[in-house]
Amino acid sequence: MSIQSLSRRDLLKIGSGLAASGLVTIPSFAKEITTNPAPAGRLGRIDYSKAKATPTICFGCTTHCGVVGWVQDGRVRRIDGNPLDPNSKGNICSKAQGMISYTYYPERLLYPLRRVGKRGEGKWKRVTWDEALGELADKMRPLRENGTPEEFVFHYGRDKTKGYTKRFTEAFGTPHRLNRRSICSSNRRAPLMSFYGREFEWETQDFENTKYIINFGGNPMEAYQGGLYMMHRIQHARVDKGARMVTFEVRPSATASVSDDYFPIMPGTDGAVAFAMIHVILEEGLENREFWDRWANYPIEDLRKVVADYTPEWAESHSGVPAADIRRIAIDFAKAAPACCTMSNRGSAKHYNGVQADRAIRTLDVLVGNVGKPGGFCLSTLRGWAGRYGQEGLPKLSQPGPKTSSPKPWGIGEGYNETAFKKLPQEVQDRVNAFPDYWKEKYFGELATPSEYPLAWHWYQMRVGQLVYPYIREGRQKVSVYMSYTLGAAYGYPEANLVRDVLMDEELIPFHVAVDISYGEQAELADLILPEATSLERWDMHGTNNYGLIPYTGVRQPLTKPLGQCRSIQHILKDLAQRIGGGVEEYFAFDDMESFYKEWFKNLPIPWEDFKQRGIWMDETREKDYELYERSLTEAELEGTEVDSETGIITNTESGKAVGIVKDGKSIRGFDTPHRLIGVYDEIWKIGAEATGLPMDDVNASPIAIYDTVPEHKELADDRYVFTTFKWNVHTQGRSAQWKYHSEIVHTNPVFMHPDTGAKLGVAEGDSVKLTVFRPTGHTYKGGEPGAMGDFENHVRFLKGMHPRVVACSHHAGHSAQGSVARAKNQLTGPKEGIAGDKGATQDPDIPKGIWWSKEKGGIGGGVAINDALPINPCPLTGGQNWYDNVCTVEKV
Amino acid sequence: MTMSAPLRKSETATADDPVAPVCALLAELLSREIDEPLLSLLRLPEVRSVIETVAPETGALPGAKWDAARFEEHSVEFCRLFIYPGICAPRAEHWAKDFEEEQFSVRRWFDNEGAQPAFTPRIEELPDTHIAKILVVRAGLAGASEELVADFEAQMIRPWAASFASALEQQSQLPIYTAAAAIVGALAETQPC
Repeated sequence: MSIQSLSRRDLLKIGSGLAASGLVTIPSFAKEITTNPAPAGRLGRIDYSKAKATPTICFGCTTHCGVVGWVQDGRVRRIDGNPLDPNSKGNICSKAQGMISYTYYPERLLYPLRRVGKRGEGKWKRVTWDEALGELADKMRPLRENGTPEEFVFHYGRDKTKGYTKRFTEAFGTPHRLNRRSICSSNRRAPLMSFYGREFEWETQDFENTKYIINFGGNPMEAYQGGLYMMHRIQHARVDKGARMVTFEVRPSATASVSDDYFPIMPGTDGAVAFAMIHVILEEGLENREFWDRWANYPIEDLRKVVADYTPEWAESHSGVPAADIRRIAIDFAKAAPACCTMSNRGSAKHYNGVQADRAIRTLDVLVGNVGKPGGFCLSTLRGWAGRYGQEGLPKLSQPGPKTSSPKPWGIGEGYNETAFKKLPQEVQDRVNAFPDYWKEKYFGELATPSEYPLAWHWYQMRVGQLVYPYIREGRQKVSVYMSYTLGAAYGYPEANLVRDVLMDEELIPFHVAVDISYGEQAELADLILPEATSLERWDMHGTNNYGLIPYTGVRQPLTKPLGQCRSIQHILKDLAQRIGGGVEEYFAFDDMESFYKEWFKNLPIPWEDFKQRGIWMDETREKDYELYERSLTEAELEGTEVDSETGIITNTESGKAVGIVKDGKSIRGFDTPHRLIGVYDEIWKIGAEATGLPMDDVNASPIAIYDTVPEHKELADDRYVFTTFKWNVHTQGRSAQWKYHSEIVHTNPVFMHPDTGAKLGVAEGDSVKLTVFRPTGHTYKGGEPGAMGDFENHVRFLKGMHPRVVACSHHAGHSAQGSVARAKNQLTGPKEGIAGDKGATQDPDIPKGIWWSKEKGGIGGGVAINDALPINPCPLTGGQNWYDNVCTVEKV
Repeated sequence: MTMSAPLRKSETATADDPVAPVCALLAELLSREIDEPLLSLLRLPEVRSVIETVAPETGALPGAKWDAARFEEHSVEFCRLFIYPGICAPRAEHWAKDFEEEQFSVRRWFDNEGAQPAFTPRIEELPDTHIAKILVVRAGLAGASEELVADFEAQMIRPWAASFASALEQQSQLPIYTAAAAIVGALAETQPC
């Protein structure tokens, strides 16, 4: 019998049988229906008499603007900006609405799933949370009991829990809380910390009051942590106050398009331009000698020698930027001081010579004395609020206790984990044993603290995420349980195919649990999937640097209950800790998440309910963070200190930590460096080179910033181009491809090139080309390995304003998972057992009826995945991925 | 077996409306994995005969002995069909051709009727346009006026039932879900009994 043969009459027979059996209990709604129904409302529209507005913090990208969500009938209908947020001032971008997209996405993960069949086969069954966490705890508990907690590896892509996940990993006892910082920004953070200390891994330019901005490869209009905070200030400064912005970029980005000057620049030559500007400023006598002598730890006459040959003409020969413009800009910049500033993230830094480029750029600010000045390059800490530099007088906010502590560092001797250390390859042990003590005390194995990249963890653990998988494959660390959290490595890491190979290998990764909101390439290769609550459904403490220069804090609070059976990561880890037991649970013995966060914020001078209503708190009477380094130390801070008569450094005798410096007879704070000065010269680069065997003539080994061309760009053959990637303003890395409204705007990633480049290659717009990428040649992972690394095909778009030696793609497209929108496929392919809470809201007809840009419907499709073809390329010493150095050939297909 | 939290039960109503228990059964099949209680329902002669006729292969049928492997096999199939990759997404709007905005929203339907539904937690957490939720409502209309029931079926069930049933029949690899497809297909008939 087929379904055509079963009639309604047959149906009635079945029903009669069921009814007669007495086994069926069914609800009764008949009597609920009134005889006078209420007028039908339009549930898809907001009724402001019913909707409730609740402030929270956006999570569309890493900027985290304060927003207000309108909730009606249990569903978030709309996101507005929170005018109380002193950073964003009520502004938001389209990505804020993306939170609604990803929360109500039909293919969102809603239930724990357990793999059935082979890993990666795509066969799953639902399990309960009890089953899921029970199995996970049973696998993790023995690791602690056997003294090998480090075999649990937690690897996140985006964690804004402000230390909550660290609470778990430390309570468990593993040092392996890995991240993707090296994929992102470690190369731009290291120079900042080298100059200003650990507290200032991110700067806070005073754009509101600046007169001149030099932008080296930054793109706050589209993709920059804090971009929205910056751009509305920059635009006001430009439009209302006549400030000027000069941008050096390899392509005409949105930021370049609103700049007063835009120069296409050869990739990897930002440093050359910055050095030439230093040369000009010194030549013209426009440096702020007083500031330099007071605060730079390097004699200016020595700087003059360093840059003696770095003339504008020399810089032009490298960069393509006209010498006359370099000169003009340098002079204008210096004359605007101190109300001028540089900006760089990440176009200048993600090169083999990028760290030195950024050190040169940072030197520009010191040279003109704009550091900490109104309109200048200020420093306002972005770290959360527990006695940080510059946060004196603020209410102390810290995670509720009990406080966890770090596991023992790995090494030989008292206080070290010798067992774990002795499992390391001998070569690694030898290298670590030769480290200075201050590195030995911070060494926790090759995944967290790779010994070949000591500056990836010298200031704090930035790690080298793109080496995690090769190192696991090489056997540098045994893994028993691997937990990935909102991590898209299997799609987005360089050599993503290597990531997938390792994840597929059940000997290397015996058990993989993926915590995420969507079924992406990473979750596909898991054994257990745990569905996470989205940012609209969870708590977090919020703290970031304020471009208004007064520290503030905020709270992310749930607007609705998590859909389906989703749970926040905080809830998941709390439950997991309690199941693992053995003392781990003691750190998670709070009643519920709200009470935990209420305790966290308990020292705020406003009641908890008021804070939740505002979403934001700031002491509006507080002075702006100008010249923090000139602030006097208090009596309490001076207690128990001694002064070095030669250097003036004030040191706490108990901790041994420098806390200030004496200048002009006054005890002031200075900078958060060991010498309390600005580290224009820093031996740590040389020390790192010596410790790792990096040749001392390598550009990265120099204790003072110098310039050298990216190795594979030297003598770049005429048929070779530099391939660069970028992010669109409506997307955030590769994690937003399933946001329907954003993918409607941008859903593909053509190869952009200058029309002249196209003419030279014999390609027309729309033609398909094949890009073949080669390995880098410097001192890096498989550096110098001959032959092609990988290739991909894509179609061409011309864009005037591109540098003629550059071709560029965005890196967010070409998904093979993440659902129908991300894949631009008409068939739903992700978990779709409902979006609970979808109570009467508008259903987007495109998703069930097909994606209009799919190839099946005659559209252009969802783009091309490119990351398999891009080589792992960690910068020496810091490990930051040199994304923008890739050399390729381009052939018409 | 109780499939939901105890709610008012009207034996008279269901006797007069035999479609109601069918919808209740379908709602269970489309919203959760088969367990012993649900299997008991599938073993009822009227249901079993449909399964055995629609898909006469032996071994996977309710009458056969079910061990843990058999239950897991069906859990995997349930997940494949309805969760991941969810080839037969049990969302009404995926299977209807032309429909008005929010037409299949259970919540909207109740609001229009001036009522508040009281679902069990498991059904409550399903989306508003989940086929199982719609079927639970249909089941719960036993005893309501014929006009109301007819309107509900016309608006909330018939637009998607045939299409969903066809897809489920094609995609299912186990006879119980093929039978479910047959039963859903019968719901799509416009001719009353």
